[in-house]
Amino acid sequence: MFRKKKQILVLEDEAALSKALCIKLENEGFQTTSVENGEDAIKLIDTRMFDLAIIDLVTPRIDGFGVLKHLHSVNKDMPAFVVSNLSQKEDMKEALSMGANKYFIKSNISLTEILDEAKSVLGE
Amino acid sequence: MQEDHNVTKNFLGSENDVFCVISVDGHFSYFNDAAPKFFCCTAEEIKEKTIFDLMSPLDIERTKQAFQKAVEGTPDTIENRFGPEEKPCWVSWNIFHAEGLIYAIGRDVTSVYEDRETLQTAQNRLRLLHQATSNPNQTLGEKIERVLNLGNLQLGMQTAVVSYIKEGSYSIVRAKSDDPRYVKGKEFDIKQTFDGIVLNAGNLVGIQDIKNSVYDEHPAHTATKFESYIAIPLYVDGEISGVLSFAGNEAQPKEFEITDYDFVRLVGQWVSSSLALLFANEQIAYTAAIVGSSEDAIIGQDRNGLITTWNQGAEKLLQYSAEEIIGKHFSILIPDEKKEEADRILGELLKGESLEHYDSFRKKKDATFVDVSVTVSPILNEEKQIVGASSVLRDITREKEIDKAKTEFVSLASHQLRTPLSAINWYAELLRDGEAGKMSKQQKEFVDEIFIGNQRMVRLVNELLNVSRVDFGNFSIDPVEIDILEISRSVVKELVPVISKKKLNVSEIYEEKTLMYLADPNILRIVIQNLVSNAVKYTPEKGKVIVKIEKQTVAKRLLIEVSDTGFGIPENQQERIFSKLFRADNVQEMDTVGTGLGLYVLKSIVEESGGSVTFDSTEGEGTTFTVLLPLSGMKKKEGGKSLSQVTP
Repeated sequence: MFRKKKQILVLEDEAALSKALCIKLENEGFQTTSVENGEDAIKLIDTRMFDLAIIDLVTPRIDGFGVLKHLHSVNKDMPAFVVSNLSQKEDMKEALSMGANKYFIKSNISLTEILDEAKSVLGE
Repeated sequence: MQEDHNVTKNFLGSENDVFCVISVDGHFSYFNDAAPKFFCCTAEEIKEKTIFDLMSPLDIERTKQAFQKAVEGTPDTIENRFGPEEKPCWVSWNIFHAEGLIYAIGRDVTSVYEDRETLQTAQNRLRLLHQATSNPNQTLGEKIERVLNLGNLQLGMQTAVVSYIKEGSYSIVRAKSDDPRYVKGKEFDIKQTFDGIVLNAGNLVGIQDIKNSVYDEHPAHTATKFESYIAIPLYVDGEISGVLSFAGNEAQPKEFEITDYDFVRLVGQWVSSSLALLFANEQIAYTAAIVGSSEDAIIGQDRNGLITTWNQGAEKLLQYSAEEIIGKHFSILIPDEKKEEADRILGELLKGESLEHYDSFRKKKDATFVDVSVTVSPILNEEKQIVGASSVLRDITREKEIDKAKTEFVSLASHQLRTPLSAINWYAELLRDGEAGKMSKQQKEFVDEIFIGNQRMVRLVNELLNVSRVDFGNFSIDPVEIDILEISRSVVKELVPVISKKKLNVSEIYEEKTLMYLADPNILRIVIQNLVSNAVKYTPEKGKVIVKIEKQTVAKRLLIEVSDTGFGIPENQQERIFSKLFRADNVQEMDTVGTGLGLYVLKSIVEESGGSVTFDSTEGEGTTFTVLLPLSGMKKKEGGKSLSQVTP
């Protein structure tokens, strides 16, 4: 039976990191779309449907907070993970208050853990 | 009558007294055998001369008056001199007049006169010494120089020196001399001075004529060309500290007299006590100069907190001049938020409780603040009573700036490092998971090494970030009500892989199933994680680790105790265990992984939370770490940044 792949938006300005994350997710059957700046992310959010957004906070043009805010205003139910190297308490608090479901510190988290969290939130 | 005369003559014919019968104009009609000795001439000369010819011209007038009085029927006694002027013979006479003649009986009183003269010289010298030393407008140094000058004049010398002798070195403290070599501060080889003789004798030395003495060949004789010398050692605090000497370019015409020795002794005593005072004054002036010129602010205050001293450093740092601030209360310098701290420290200090060295800040005259490092010490009087406090304030603005820059750099660098570390992590993970195809056993092994190495790097970066936040003080503590045992259990659970690998016996001692406590879960986790993972890390195989957590209601504290049967901390390194980057030698040798940052961070965060951490350790037996936190909960702290968990 044909099953539509779950769509995941990846906002990450570091190409290497973005690529690794996408490989991991796609190998597990997810469809990923990656963008390198917040502006492109917002454009995509406005024009396409995603099941999950994985967002870095420090990104060019519009930062991850801006994207989160926008995301929350257009689609309150869409889950979002923050995967960032910012580890300040106030950043975490702010991101979570803007509707992020999870906050991961990039260097401390494995791809498998992100994948598992994604599966879990998407009911896979 | 003749018989009477003979009797009298026999009676008076003794050698001890002179008896003579003289006409009013002074011619002798009789004199006894003692007379030539009294008059310092022969019997023939006496017969040819009048008594007035023989006596000192100074006494003639008085003697004539005495004769006249005797003629008038009021006989009197008189004293007059005979013989050489410089060493006269003093005679005291009883005279009376009978039958136109003067009858005179005289007694030699020279010795009495000499004593009187000696006394007079001594009195005179004492008076001069008093004059030379009592001018309140003169400095001690000037007084010493005046006394030296007086000594030269009184003793007929040309060079007077007060020397300071210590461990073989010889220098002049003060001098008065016609020879330009002898000036204040000049140093000499002690062997080339006569003072060495005094030093050896330990007492008064007088050499009247050096050339004709045993000291003719002394090296000092050639060096100084002095021909006479009198000196005395100077005692300061019971030790010979120098010599007071007077030296002449010529030999003395006669031996030094007792009056001379007494005089030198007296001057020596005065100089000794002045020297002690002079040294003390110089020491005080020296200290005052150091204090005065110090870049650090040095401030004295009395028991009531009123400022008593204020150096140049204080003027520069805090902008008040000494004139405007002395007498004011020190609280003028303390910012409002530091008042309590300053009062507490002063209070403790005045009770003699403790000395403190701490960083704080002070308010300047223009109401801006300056970061300072403060050292406070009590000021004690001679009875060891605390009469005030002295503070040394050092401007640490620059240090603070450097510290801040350093911390910011560490923070920035750590963040920047995280991105490439994440990339290594993730790609190693992709390879390990076979996302790029199956790897050979060896390939897998190599990738594992890359992954493990990178994990260590990640941990180090996280720890460095924690250190920078602890150093910067900008981490926050947000206490919430949590089950502390849940955290503890999960920490132990996380370590199970290592625990089972090392076959360690880990027991957890908790009185209840849950223990609710007001704590920042993140901070509390770091604390427990640190203690337990250290115990696990530093305990050899099959060892024991005990984790104990309990509320101590009486002592009003929460106890977290982790003990092990591990390697222990060498005793000589125990005091450094909480220092940044410190790792004990014994564990370093065993190559156990560790950064030396964990306990540093732990101590800071426990103390910031209002608690304390202590340990008890014996090398080869084990260690027990004890963390005590207030039972009421961790102290809240605003800071904005959270600390990272550093997983093992």
